[in-house]
Amino acid sequence: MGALYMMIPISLILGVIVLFIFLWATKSGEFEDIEGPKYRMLDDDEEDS
Amino acid sequence: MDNTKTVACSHCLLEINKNQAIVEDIKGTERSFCCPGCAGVYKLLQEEGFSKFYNKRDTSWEPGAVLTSNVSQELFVDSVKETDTGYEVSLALSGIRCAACIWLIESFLSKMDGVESIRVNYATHKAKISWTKGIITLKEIIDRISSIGYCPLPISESSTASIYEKEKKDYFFRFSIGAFFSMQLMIYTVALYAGYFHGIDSGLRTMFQYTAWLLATPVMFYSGMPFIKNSLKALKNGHTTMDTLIFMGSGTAYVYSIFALFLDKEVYFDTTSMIITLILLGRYIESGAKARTSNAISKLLTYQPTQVRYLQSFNPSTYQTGNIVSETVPVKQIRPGDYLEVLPGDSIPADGTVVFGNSEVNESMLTGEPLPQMKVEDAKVFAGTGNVNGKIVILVENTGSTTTLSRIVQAVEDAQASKAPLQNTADWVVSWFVPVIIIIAFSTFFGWYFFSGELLTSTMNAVSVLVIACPCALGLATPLAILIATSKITKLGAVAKSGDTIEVLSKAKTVLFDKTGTITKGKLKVEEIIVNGIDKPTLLSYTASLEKNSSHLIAKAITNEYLDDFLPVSDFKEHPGKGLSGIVNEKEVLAGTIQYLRENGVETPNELVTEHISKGYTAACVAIDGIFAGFITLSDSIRDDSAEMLRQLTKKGVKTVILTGDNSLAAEKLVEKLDVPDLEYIAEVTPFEKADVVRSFQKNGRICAMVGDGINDAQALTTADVGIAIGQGTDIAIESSDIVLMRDELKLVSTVFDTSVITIRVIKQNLFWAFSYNIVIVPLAVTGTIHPVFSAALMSISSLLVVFNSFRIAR
Repeated sequence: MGALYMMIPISLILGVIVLFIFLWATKSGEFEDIEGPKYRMLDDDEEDS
Repeated sequence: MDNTKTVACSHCLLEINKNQAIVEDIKGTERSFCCPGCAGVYKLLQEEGFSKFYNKRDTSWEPGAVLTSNVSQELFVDSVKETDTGYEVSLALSGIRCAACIWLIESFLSKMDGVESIRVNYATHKAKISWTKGIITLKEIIDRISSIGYCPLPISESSTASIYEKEKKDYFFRFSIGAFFSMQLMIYTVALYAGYFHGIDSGLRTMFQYTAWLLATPVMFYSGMPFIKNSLKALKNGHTTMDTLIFMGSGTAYVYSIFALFLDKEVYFDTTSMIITLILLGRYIESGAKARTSNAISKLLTYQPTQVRYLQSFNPSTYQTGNIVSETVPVKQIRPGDYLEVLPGDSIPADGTVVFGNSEVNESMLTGEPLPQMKVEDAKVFAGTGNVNGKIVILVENTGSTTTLSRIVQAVEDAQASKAPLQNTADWVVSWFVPVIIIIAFSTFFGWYFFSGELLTSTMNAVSVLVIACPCALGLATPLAILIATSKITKLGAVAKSGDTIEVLSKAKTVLFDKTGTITKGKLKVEEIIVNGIDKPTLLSYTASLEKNSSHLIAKAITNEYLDDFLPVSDFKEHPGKGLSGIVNEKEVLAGTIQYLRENGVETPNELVTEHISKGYTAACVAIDGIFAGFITLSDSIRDDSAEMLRQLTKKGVKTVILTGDNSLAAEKLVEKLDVPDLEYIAEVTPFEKADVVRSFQKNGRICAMVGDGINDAQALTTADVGIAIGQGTDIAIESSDIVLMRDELKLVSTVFDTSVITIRVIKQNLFWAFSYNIVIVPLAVTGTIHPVFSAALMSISSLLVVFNSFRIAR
């Protein structure tokens, strides 16, 4: 039981880190085109960009 | 139509009359095209080796002619950014119909020398292009995009769209943070509940409670900030809104739980964060719909040319001899009193008077009238309308913000600003519920203090009244139902810009419809062929063979009706505003207005023709070898689903009214043809009177919806309690409306109406459940005999009832 006193704070800290990574990714435009990848991965002929 | 007589355009797959197809031999195969634009694009793609595009595209491609437009690079000047090696521009692309289109644009542009990168967003159709300095110019890039049938447009930054975009982003962050902490919080809440029943180590219990407090705090003060701000603002103005209730519900639960934490009682932090998170999700989806439909007014630019042909001075005789030559100047430099030359196919850059020449002008975007209007000297022309077939010189009277077009936009904006929101059911409930609960809470406090004299117990009981009386169920009752209704409407093919619209629509007693382009298709179609002395197919074959050579709308409609082979035509002549002449199959044929035939010495049965014209038909009269052979009547054809949709609405007890600029005879004819019981019409409404008509319907306190598509409907759409725009209509109409039909189906009007009626019924049931809960629980809270687990269970049951009941809308 004693481990819980350690594990819970750690899980919370990890969760918050993940949340900030997610928010940072959103802010830098990572999710602006969520439609694109499913089409782009099939375009094997020419590289774009 | 007979299948062997139609053919699909090789580029855009549009089914067209075989006779009108442009047939070209490409690499040994015969290909048919619907228009020169499609043919051009097809050839270009073949030449450059992009024919793979045709295999790549799938069923999501919608058939329809493509336009290769001329877009001025000046529109993009503000959006070009300098980079290390060159420039970068962000622009919006219109005309994208499927994923293959994006593949095509990206690979077609990457092939260009100097283009460093191009990336098109599949969801928003915005492109980011960067290129190296000195190798190519922006103009070349833009021309290349337009050459394959896509139209680059500037991304409007200042318009309302970016405000909504910002709002949407803000809600997104608040929601994701709220959702994250709420999910974490639920873990500890469930543990606490389980602990309540099975026993829990008191140290862990305390820790879980503190953790819950920690997790609920950002949700309350960051995610919940909009509710706090709005309710304080509303309180300052002395009223309460839905936000007040949400703030009260979450806030009191939060404060109560903090006290409970120190008094070793049960905590309710989960209530706080769940209410806030769920409602934020609804707000986020709503703001997304707003952002999607409101990127319009700045697109007005595209109607108006940026360059004009300016004449230094004007004098009819010198002009005719060719001694005055026009120079190209930017439209911004034009002042009233200037003379401008407008060529066929150009749009008219300013309001003014024709001083030389005559031409037909397409004013459909302004007036909704599908037929081009003949403009002779001294006639008024308006900015943004299209010059069809003659060169004219105009004397400028109004430019820029004083043109009719800009004034309409201004009127729309004014109407939007002054639109008074109708109070929705939820706000109405809240407006008396909140004061009542506060009074009960205070009475509880004073009652307990009076009888027991214990300050702490009295306070705790009073606060628990507040917590318990503002349950999730009541907070969720309306927003959840509206949220599900909004997503259902989206699935049906329409977008509702705000949730309130749905509620208002369900109360609509009158629905007004614009005629041209809404009830009708806005396209001419042959209605009847009336002959004199010869049979119908012969008359049609002679007329169609002649009309084939003209690009006039009437001519196109007649040619479209004819499916056999054409007769040989020679000596073809077009007389603008009058008609056509030529030798067809060795016979002299005249086709045009009745006046035109008479001018050429043909005896005509005037009364018969006038009778048809007065019914709202356009008549093309035909004479063969100087003898009147008959006439073809044309009219704007009614949409296939108009009558059905009107009937559905009438069945629901909604009054349907059609507004039209036509005379009453023509309107009566239309109503007769629709054959819908109790359908009314108002004829001879000028475009600028439509808003007044809407107001007159609203005067008796009746809620009134308006369905339209044109610029001329924009003000009426804004004035109406609910404006519904056809998605294929003009941008301004879309901007001014509350609901946009994304599919070109009019029957969506009645299906969306049905959904709104169901939604309101569900909201009322939800409120009933939420109140039943209150009636049971508030007396217990007042007497202080409430058991925390009993209240939690009831709260969950009432919330679940509301949730499941709301899901019935989606069916």
